[in-house]
Amino acid sequence: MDDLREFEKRLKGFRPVAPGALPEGRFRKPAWMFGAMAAAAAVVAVAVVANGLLKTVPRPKLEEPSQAALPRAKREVSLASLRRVAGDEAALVAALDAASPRLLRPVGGEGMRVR
Amino acid sequence: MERGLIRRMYEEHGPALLLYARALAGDASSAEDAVQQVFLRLLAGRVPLPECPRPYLFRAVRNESVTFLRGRDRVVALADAEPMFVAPPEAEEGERERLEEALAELPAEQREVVVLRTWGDLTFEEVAELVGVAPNTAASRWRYGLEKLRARLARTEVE
Repeated sequence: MDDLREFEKRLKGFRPVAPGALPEGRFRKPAWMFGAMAAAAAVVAVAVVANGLLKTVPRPKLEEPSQAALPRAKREVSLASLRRVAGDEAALVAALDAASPRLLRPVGGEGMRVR
Repeated sequence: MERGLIRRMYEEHGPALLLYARALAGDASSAEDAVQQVFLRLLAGRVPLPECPRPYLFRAVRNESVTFLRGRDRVVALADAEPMFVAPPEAEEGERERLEEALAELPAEQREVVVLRTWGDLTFEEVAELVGVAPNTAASRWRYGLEKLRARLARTEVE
């Protein structure tokens, strides 16, 4: 056993190599990362708020044309009523005027009016 | 726990712990990761340090190395390019390399005990408790391991 201990003493002369320096900064996040995370969070928050605001603005439905662009007809018009006046140009114009606003020809001093 | 004390412990015990981790895990970088993880946890204050740090540190490195080994598909050869020792001035040429090769050729359980006892300076009782065997078994493994190392080194000297 003594010779084994002598051999062990000889082995101890070989020193194990040291590990590298401890990476102590490994668990510390750099300050710029916090700024980047805060900026990203702000962008997400703005996007969420903006999306919520957009949803509250009433949007006209496509199947219903905007009433602001089309003034109401003064009188109802139908195909039958148009056929009755088809041969009479003046009557036809009058019928069409009645169904649509007189945007181009003011009649009777009324002028251009959007209802 | 004072950071300065932990850093001093790293300097004092780090080399033996690294050798032990390499004896278990194989490659140098994995072994270094295991040792550094143990000390980084101490620095972060996540674990308290017991009064006798040496056995605790070896146990912590063992647990870390075993966890690492479980996650790997294959065992990396012990003797990779990174040297494990610094040879003393009186060492013969090539003796360090022969020692490292001989250590790599030992059975794993003998290599572990030889490293813990010879370079870790643990007692046989501490070694036994760490590896989970009786002190007599630890002593036997140490004796057989040293005899194999001595025979191996003597054979390569003749060659």
